[in-house]
Amino acid sequence: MEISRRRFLSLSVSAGAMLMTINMPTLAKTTKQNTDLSGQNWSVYLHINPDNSIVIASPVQDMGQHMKTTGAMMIAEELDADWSLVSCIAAKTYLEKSTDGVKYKYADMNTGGSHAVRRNWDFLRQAGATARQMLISAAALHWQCSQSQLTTAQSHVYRKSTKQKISYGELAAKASTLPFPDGELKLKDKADYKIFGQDITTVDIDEIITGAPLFGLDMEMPDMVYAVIERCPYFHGEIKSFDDKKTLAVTGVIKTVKIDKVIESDGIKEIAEGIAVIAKNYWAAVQGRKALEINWQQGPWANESSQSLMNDFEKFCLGDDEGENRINEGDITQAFKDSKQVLDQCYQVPLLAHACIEPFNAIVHLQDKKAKIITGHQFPTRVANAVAQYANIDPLNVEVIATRMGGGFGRRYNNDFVIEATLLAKEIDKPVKLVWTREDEMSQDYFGQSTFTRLRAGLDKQGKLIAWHHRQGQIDGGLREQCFPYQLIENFKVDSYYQKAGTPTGAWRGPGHLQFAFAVESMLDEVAHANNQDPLTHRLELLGDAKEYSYRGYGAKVIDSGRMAECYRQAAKLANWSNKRPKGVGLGLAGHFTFGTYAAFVVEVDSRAEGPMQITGIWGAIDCGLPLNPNHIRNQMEGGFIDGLNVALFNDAEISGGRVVNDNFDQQPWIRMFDTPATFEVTIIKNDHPPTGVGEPPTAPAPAALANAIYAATGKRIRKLPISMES
Amino acid sequence: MPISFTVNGVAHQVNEQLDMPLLWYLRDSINLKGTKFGCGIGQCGACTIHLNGHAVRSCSITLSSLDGQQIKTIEGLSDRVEKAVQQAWKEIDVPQCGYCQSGQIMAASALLKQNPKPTDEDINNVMTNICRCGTYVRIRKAIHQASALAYDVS
Ligand code: FES
Ligand code: FES
Repeated sequence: MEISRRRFLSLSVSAGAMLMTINMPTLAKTTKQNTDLSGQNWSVYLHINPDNSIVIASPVQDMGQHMKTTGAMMIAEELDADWSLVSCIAAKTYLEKSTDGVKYKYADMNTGGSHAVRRNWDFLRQAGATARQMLISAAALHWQCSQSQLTTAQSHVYRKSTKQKISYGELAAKASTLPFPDGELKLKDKADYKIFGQDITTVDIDEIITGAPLFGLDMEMPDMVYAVIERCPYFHGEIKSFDDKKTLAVTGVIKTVKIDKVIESDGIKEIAEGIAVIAKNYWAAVQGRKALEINWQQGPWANESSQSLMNDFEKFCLGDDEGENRINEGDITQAFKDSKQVLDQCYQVPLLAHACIEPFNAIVHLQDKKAKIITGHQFPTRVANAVAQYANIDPLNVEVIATRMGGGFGRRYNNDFVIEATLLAKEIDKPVKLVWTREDEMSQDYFGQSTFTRLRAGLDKQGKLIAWHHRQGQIDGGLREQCFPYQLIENFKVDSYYQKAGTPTGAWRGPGHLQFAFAVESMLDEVAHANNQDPLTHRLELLGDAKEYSYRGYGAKVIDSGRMAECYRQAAKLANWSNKRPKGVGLGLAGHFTFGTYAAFVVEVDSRAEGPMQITGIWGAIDCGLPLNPNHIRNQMEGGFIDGLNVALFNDAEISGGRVVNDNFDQQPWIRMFDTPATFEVTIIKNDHPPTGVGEPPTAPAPAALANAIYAATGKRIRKLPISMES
Repeated sequence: MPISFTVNGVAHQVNEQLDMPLLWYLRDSINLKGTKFGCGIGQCGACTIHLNGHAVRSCSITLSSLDGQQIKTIEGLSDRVEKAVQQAWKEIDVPQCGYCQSGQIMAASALLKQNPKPTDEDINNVMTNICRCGTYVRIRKAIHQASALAYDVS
């Protein structure tokens, strides 16, 4: 607390306090555009109007993880605001110089790695508490009384002795002129929370249900033109020759622009080579694109396929060569010699498509060494730096208008669409709106890692796990070996292999966690069955007494076996786990720890009817520390797990001949209503730990929970995704 | 021959780019951004509108086929059932990213007009729109709730 308090104070002082503003008659309550209020006021995120309404510019980007709502709640709770008087707008992007470009001047707007709650927790609460303190000071002046007589509630200050009250709206003008409070800033006790713990509705709900413009693709700039790009389908391929005569003859087409590929020094594609078509409207640009005649040069990866990659990984896993050593504790060789039973199995996860439902887009306008860009992106500072680099201007001259995103899942970390739009804006003195198609989105993805994992588990006479060797091959990215069962098994080894490849990979919702959890939670199930033990009992025994272990991976400092065990127990309880199902119906259990949050699920599969097996119920439990907004935690538990089920059942980006094969939903099926059961229940475990994220943790357990349920229902063990439900 | 149709009750006439899907006319020509682009091939349902009262995917019908037709978009929702669907969507707080939801709402309101009390199976059969965020559990609940709001006499 002390450190973040100091950070907050120094940031506030250097930035000119950033907390409160007043008298904003021009700012209608319903304004949803990014409004710059910093010039007129000394505050940027919070505005209290004379009529006592409050406008919060929620600084964290929303891509469906509900963070725009949560960020505003953090400010409002400590402000002691009446939530019904609060409306939310998107925050402007405030930047300042850093050593390597720009960084945020005020709040961290990024989203990814489920960090938005963790990083903003102290900062935004202190922002609210500071404003509250200043309103109390203003009330003390107003009544000429001491502050100690005053309390706050529901956007009012109360004076106990006289039973008087005054609204924040009436005090805000005065409050904003007062000095920044110096003494100790008191944050609320948990018992006093009025907003946290309530089911709060999405702040943009009215716009969403009426179809009001919210997303990047809905935005316009005056006089803008449209662009689409025909990109080289082959990884790192090039244009041999092209003919754009027919394109230029299409009504509405303005010009074509050749885009050169950019491959970074680490071999990762920044942008693909292609021909852009700029036109007066989108449909004309699409027609012009269809008329292009391009000869592609296949490039260095023309022999690569999903299968060839998997073969490479498999070769490593089944061979004896040491991989990159990640963990090697105890004496693994001796422990396997001492084992009475060894289970040795391999698990496969394919390349995972992101399929962000809103295809990528950006509007860029370059003028007088200044740029304005409207786009939905998880990391607005990265946008500013990329535009500056490719437009060759100062990043502080880049205005980033960050919009709500139609999905991100890690893919909106990459800058390809930002760079392309910037390059095109240099070619015409009008704003350019670049629009990707679904085919573009799927064929130019940075996929979630495909993995081949070999797990060997050694059991002693009593069936206790004494040896565990995890070997995994993939293109890039981390493993999640710091998660359980590490530190629960004495002799433990993890080594990995990376295959250099042309297939672009990147962050996919909880990177590495789903792949890891599918292998580990399947193997734990296999071990339980080999022991003739109930899978729940087996896991609880393995976790042992509640204990905090140190965690050296991303997103957490400790991992707690007691909190993990409680998730398994609660999910099982909700599913009525001990209630035996009829033959042909099975329950599968799986859990995982992702970036500080624990989640476990039970899936029920019914194989009795003719035709495909059915998923008939899902029950989940989550421990994400203090539950801030149970409504949205449940929503993420549902949606996140269903995304994991989509991986279990459908998501399978196929590469062949060094390019993507399945580039739209007709060839890459996606989970739909009829694949998901009506029964989906969630328990949120109440506790006082600091809150952690919920956007990623519900996803990882899904494939193993389903595979384990299929085993329980049919006796068939599935170790390769995607799973077919045809029995 | 110009093509005439109505959008949310307003008359429109077009005589160029007749091969353009209705979706892009709505979004870019007349600035109704509520109808979304998700796949362009009739698979995802993000672009669902009502064509003479039926849920139709606007990326897959061209302007040339619209002569004399009545189109309603999310911006034009107004009757009792449509309002009930929007209300239920809010009460259940269905969305995550929200991008697919106007298409889901259009599909659901068309469903509820034809079938005031859909079963879970009816919903499975008709609600084929993709929600990339996976809000299916809530969409299902919201449809049942909208049915109650629209048709249950209180
Ligand atoms: S955009 Fe029309 S169905 Fe997907
Ligand atoms: S809410 Fe994001 S796609 Fe449905």
